[in-house]
Amino acid sequence: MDPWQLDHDVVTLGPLRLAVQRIARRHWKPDGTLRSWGLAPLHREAETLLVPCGPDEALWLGAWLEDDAPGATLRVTDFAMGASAAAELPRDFQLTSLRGPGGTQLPLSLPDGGRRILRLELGLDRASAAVELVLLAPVDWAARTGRAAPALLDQPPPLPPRLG
Amino acid sequence: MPTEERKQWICSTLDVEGGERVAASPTMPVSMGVAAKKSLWKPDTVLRVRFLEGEPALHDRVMKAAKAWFVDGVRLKLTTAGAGEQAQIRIAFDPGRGSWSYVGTDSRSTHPSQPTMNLGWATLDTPEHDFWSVVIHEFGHALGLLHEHNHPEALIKWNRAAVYADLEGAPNFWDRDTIDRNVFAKFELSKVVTTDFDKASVMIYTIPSNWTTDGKSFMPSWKLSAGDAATIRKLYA
Repeated sequence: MDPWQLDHDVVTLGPLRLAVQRIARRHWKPDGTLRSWGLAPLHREAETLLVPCGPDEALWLGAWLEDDAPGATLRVTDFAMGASAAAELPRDFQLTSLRGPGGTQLPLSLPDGGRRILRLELGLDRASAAVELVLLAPVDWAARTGRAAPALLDQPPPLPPRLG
Repeated sequence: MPTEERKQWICSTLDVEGGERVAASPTMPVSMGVAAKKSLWKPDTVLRVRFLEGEPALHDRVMKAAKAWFVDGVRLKLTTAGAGEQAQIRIAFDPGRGSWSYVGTDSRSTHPSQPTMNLGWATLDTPEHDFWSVVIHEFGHALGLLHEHNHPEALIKWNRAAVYADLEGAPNFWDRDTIDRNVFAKFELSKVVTTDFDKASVMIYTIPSNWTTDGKSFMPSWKLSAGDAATIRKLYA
């Protein structure tokens, strides 16, 4: 049995949940919290996940724990670019950039189309998984998966409700 | 005014010492009436409302909206208390403190001079639907009702990372514990009274579509739904 599952567009590994979030590229910033403009659809092929990424958007990885799980780790590596990043749950809930050569922080984006391959490693106390996350141009993703690519990002979702 | 144009808001109820919540797990969206067993008023209680500030016209507007809960068969009465008189529900209008209420009889844990409810966004200029929405919601808490999304069997597919990202920023600036407690926590089934699914409830939380992994969204009704009426009858008729 696979250690990880894809439940609609959410990766699950035990109590760990991971979803790929979309944001307009112009709203990406190397530091600070990014809002989610919506979930990116995921398509599984064996141990590979295909995700569409338009030229004007950036992705970030959102992760959280269900139940009272003690913790988890998340690591993303782009071997082609020599860049990587890690997150530790529950302290971190988002991974928004990779640190490249010289310490430069790079967005998870695909500005020139084509494809980009990332290695995604998920770790829990008693389970782990490695997934190949492949970013594809939306038209290529749609052709490969037979699913409609998500609409282009237009504007941020409304500001969150004001809390009492 | 179309529902989606109404002001979005969420109140946060206050937990009294000894209150318990347990961790949630997201499943499918569902909404049910839910109330705190230990915080319900005794039948035939006369609930007295004292306004700690504000002008009489505003008080009248609040009372008119609040009385929506007192449908046929409900064995509670609502009346206004004068200045200095004892009252179980004491209302402030501090615009800097948002909107919140103690839940039912939990209000007895507060000092008689302190508010048990704040209606920070309710003014004479507030549009009718906004006004009714927030007043009815807070009075629902005052009668013992809880947020729908904290229902023990609530089936909401939370995109928790998106919720954290939004609520940690403006305009709320909540820390992670506050988000967990107010958004994701669940009440224990043994401690609440529930009724059937009612997605039109005035007690449901505002949940934007980017907060769920299935794209579903929720916004509280501005008026009492049929399910709300059934819930309040179950509790007090």
